[in-house]
Amino acid sequence: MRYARREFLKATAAAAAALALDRASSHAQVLVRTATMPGDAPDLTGLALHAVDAAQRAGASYADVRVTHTRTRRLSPRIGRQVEFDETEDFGLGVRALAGGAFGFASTPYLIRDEVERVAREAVSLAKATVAMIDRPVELCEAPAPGHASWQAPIAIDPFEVSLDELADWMSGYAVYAAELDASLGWKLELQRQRKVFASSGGALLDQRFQSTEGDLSVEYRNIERQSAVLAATARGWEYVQAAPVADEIAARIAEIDDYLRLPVMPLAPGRFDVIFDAQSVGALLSCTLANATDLDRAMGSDVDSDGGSYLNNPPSMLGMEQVGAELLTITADRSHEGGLATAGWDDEGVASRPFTLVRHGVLSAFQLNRESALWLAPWFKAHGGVAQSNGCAAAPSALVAPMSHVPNLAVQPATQGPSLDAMIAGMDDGLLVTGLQSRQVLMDDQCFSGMAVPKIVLRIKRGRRVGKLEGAGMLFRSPQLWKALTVLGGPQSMQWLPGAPSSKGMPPQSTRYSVGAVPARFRDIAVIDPRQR
Amino acid sequence: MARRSSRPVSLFAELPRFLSRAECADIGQRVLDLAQGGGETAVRIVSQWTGEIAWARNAPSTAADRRDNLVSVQRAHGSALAVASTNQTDPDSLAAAVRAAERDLRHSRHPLTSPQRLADPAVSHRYPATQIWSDATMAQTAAARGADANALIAPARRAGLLSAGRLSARARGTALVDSRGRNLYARETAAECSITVVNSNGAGAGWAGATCRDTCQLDVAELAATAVRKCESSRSPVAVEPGRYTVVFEPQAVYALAWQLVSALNRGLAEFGSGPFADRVSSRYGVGMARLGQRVVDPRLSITQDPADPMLGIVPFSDEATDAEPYQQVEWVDGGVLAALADDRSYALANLHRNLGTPNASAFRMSGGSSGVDEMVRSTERGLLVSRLHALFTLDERTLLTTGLTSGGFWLIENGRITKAVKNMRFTDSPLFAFNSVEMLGTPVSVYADPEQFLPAWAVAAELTMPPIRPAIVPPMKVRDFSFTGLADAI
Repeated sequence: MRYARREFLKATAAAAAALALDRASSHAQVLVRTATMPGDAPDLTGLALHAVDAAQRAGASYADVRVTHTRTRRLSPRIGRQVEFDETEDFGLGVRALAGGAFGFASTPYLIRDEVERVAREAVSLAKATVAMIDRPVELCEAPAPGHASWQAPIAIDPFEVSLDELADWMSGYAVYAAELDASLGWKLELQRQRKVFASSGGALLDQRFQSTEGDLSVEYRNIERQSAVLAATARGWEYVQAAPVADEIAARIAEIDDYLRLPVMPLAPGRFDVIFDAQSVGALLSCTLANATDLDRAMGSDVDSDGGSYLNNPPSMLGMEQVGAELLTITADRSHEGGLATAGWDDEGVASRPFTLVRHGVLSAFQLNRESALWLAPWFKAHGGVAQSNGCAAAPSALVAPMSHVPNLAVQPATQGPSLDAMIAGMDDGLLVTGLQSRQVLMDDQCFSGMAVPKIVLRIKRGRRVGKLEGAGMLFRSPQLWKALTVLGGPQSMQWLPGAPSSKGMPPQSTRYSVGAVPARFRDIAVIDPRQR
Repeated sequence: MARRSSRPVSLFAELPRFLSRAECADIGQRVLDLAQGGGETAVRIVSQWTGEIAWARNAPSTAADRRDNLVSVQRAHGSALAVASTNQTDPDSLAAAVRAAERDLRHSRHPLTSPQRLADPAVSHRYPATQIWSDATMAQTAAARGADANALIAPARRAGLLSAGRLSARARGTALVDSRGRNLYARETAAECSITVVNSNGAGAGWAGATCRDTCQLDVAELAATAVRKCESSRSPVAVEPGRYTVVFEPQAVYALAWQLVSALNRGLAEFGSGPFADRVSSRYGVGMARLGQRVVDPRLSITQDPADPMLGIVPFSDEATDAEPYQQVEWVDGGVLAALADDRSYALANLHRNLGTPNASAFRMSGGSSGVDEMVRSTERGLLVSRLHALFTLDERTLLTTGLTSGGFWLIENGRITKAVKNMRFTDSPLFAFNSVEMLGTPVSVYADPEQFLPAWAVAAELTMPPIRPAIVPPMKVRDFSFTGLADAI
């Protein structure tokens, strides 16, 4: 959906009128004119355009502006039919200005004309203050001008239009259901929507509306807790919650715990094993290894003081050459994937979302780029007959922080004729099965190179059957060796989309979300240890 | 309800960089006036300005000026509780937040909430005077930060190395206003610097960092020199076998271990039978007992919290609970003996017959000795020198068994001398074991006090753009039999 020119002009004219009113108010009103009530919402597009204009007037050779309005509602069910609520509503405007070849950034929560002027001037002033320190000016690669356009996450039912009674009843109903099965639920429901307006001196004016819905659900039964992905975070509306088979999931987790308790505990003998990871676990491994290692900021050492580096630390010579996994491993990135947490019409530099391949048949085929970092690879692009282009990975969780390169939605491509998880287990003569591994249980070094996984559920498989459980087992690995040890990938029917580990960058950290699509996979000769052994 | 006129919150011609005492009080009063339907109301406000410059590969990446607020409205009625927050300060937004909290309140029945959840007016808290403000930090200009950043980058550039880091000045106001008459405010500043220098082949790194209230106390030349020196002495690191080593920990590494221990000082957890300070279940009372009065670490070690200490100053009231309890001077560990555990007022009322909790600010001083790091190295026949630990993960809450990585400089000590740079390693050990195996202690110093620095990425929430300031003072330490369990090739 794109703005008609007439609608755009009407919007900006209204903005100008509103701003004129603001200007008429006295300075003494500055803290009290940031309306958030329905029907009196601040004009985000008008303010964004005004900020761009102000930055250019202050001397910026390029400026981009983000304005965000974010609303979050969190619900936590308590005992019986009790529910606790927490609501947040935030506004922000941030200006990034390029002046004299250096970047400056300034932001404010106050969406008023005078403050927007100040912020724009401040960003330019900050840029100019650092010009003397730069050896060579910052440049941004060319990007097709998106013009004036809008995008909206495709949702059927706006969760914020659902009554609190329905929300509370929905949550507490399942708590009562679980109690009838002698289980208890630990969960939170988080609904978030964000409107983000982006404007740039390149002529872009983008109006995007995002939605995320997440149910963090765990089932506790017979003193064992199991996390559930039935309401894993997604960019969908209330229809996603309504359609989720929560009751079936609670029953399934209880049955799983029963099965787990029936299995004998087997001694943990460190050694090397073939290991099957379920789809969620493969997603966690991807999140903690290649998802971060292929961020060009990290690979070039830009984040070494805050987030760390990458073992893929010589990008020009590694691109298209470095074997980072087995031949059957292909990883795609796509910020246009429907329902993905990183899905957008454009990134936070106005670059249109498009899919690209990060790893093709085990070979590194791309890094995550923004408009600045793409030019670091300009010689490589030229040598390969192309020009440096951003692949749309710039993101900022709110307008109050400067955009950085963040992980897009990723997917491990399934094997066309690949097996299901059950078929994979049936085909294993002797090995281990890991299920439900979470990214927080994968401990990586600063280079995303060597790591240790400490899953909660590790089962022993013999002749295709689960015969016991290992308690407290850990797996040591190095990222390239792990992915090269991949021997079997699940088929398309086994694909699951789940949230990736939050993409956290900078100091203080700014965190964005993305989705990971993954299939179960089998790896050979994984080192299994007792991580509690001192 | 008497509705206030829409007079301005601020009379300043220009918006302040963060909210003052008068502005917070005015916002708080507006919210109290807006509340309808009885019950209790509390408003918590955090307002922050950050001026910063970040650089990478010897060039500035961004100079920034960021401002934000958090106005959190809590409404309680009987046992019901609801919270709504905004970063806006205008009357309409405040009214919207109050209405949202009250709307949610009608659907909320918090079973754990007692009427005492909000502050008891009968309790007159006394808050310690703290020294947490610096005019110099507040007045630091972007040009001055740029000059400091230049001074941080130049030595690395001259040495043919690559520098990355961040230098910031922060000013922040924290307030609590409630319907029981409490009206608290504190303002604070922080100057922070973190610098990592790497060599061009990425095989060695040196780190340095500092946190203080007054930017004038940041010795940027010293920080740059330290990071460069550590990087240069980290060239061509060799791998050593995992195993148990005598280890000399620099203060920043001790901080990581000590922070793990201080974070676990929780009385409720201990008496529930969890965590490292749970002892046993009392047959008489049927409840768990904490290890209070027992020796838990080396008798030379004491851990204290003292908001009045000029080097440990913090906002004097707890920002977690609406009780706004004062942070007190507490001896958590006295001569190796567990002397106190943290609790909040509701726990203290219910279980300890006390009307005041003991909140843990995670700002602490660990006692030390008189040995220097050089002396510790000279006295070591074979061991390792560790600059920093990060990416910590607790494997066992009961023993506080923790795994993590070395970083920022790691060397082999042989016959009293540093002989080689060593590739980083994964350790698996407990702060409790380490602090019971102390051989030597040095003079405690202020460290780069940023707990987020050694948390794994998944633990970092999106809302951490305004992290609280928690200073710490710890000594360097020589420890025997510290366990390294694997190699980490990363720098």
